[in-house]
Amino acid sequence: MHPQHEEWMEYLYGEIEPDRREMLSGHLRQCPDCRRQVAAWQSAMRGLDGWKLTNGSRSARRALWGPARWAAAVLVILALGFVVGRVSSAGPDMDLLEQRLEMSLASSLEPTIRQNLTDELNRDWLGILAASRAQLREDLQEQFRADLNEYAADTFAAAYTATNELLANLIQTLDAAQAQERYRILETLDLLEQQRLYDDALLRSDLVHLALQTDEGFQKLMTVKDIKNNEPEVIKNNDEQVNQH
Amino acid sequence: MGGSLFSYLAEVFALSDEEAMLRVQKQNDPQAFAVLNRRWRGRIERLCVRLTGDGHRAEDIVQEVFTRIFVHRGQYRHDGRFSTYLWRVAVNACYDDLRRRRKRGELSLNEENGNGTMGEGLLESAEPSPESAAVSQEQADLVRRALQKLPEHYRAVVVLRHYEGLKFREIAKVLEIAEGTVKSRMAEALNRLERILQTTAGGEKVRSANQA
Repeated sequence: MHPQHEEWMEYLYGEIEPDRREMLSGHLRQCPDCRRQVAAWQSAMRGLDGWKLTNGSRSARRALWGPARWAAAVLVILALGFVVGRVSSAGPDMDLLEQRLEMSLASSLEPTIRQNLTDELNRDWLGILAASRAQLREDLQEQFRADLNEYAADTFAAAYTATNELLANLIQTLDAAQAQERYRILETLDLLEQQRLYDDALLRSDLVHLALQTDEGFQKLMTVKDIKNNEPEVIKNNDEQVNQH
Repeated sequence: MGGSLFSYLAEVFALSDEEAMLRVQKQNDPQAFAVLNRRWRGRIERLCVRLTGDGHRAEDIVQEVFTRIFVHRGQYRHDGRFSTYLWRVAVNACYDDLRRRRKRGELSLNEENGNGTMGEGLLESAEPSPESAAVSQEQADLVRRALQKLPEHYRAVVVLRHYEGLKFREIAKVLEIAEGTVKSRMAEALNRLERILQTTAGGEKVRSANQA
């Protein structure tokens, strides 16, 4: 007995229970008629696969616009519903009104939707832009503060380094100046010392010369004294003569 | 203001379809309706393209579907999934459109042969070369024409099951028919499609390309 077509549809589209699938597969291996029929269905299924559609670019674009458009459409319909509600209180035919509403919607929806869509987008975007602007301002301020702090830290660090270098240079210069000064002082002292040694030597020489001369004078004096001692009368007489005169 | 707006939107976007529709129904919440529209618009448009075989008409029908949903929001009953209700409204909108066009003589009862469009804006275009893209478009057109030759109640089952991936049980709820009927219609629809594709000049090419 052949399985029903309905069962083969479940089989072909994977909606059949596993144990039942096994049975149908077994039957298919043994039954050429069913094999031919299933092959024809599979051929048609492959043929159908030749027409592939996807959510293409147009749909993608519409998906972007769609929500806002429908939001606007809903607003329009609500407004019209309000009008209808006001009118219906006077007792007109509701079915007729609804039909007219639907027809008028179909004809007038598009431009109204566009207008409302624009307004809706404007409102939303203005709100979002205002929030974004405030956020942006805060972010910029925060960033500016952070940059300023960083810049100040860098500047201080750079200034500290520069100061250290200048001080090092100054110290080196001072050291050099001091060294030079010390050298000059030493040089001067050296000169003074040489001058002193020279003067000393000169003085000593003069003293020696003086001493020699003094000694010679002394000798002469002694010699004179000796002469005096040997000739006291003569001298005495001479002295007395002098005193008399 | 910004924070409260965003938290409100986050709340709305986290809603299930049924919760969003309840908000639309009880609070006339436009944001909740916008969420439903965003979630479902693409799939409903694909359904309409395949049921009507006309991408341009499908755009108008989708607009009409969502307008109907909102205008008749009071009629929605919370005893099932919102998607089931939405698919039903969409399928009926397509039936209505086909009926109107047939009345105006734009369609023959046994289906039109090619004035429609395939929904070019929705066609997948992953082919690396213009040649393969052209072949792909030709295959799509063959399938579109074959589908349009099916009676509408078969076409709806094929589109909902094969392309939109609804389970047979859910299709039964959408179309308000027995699940067994859905499956038998599906089997018959595939039989007819196979015959149509076999007799179409490019039918073999379509299948061989898909097999490859």
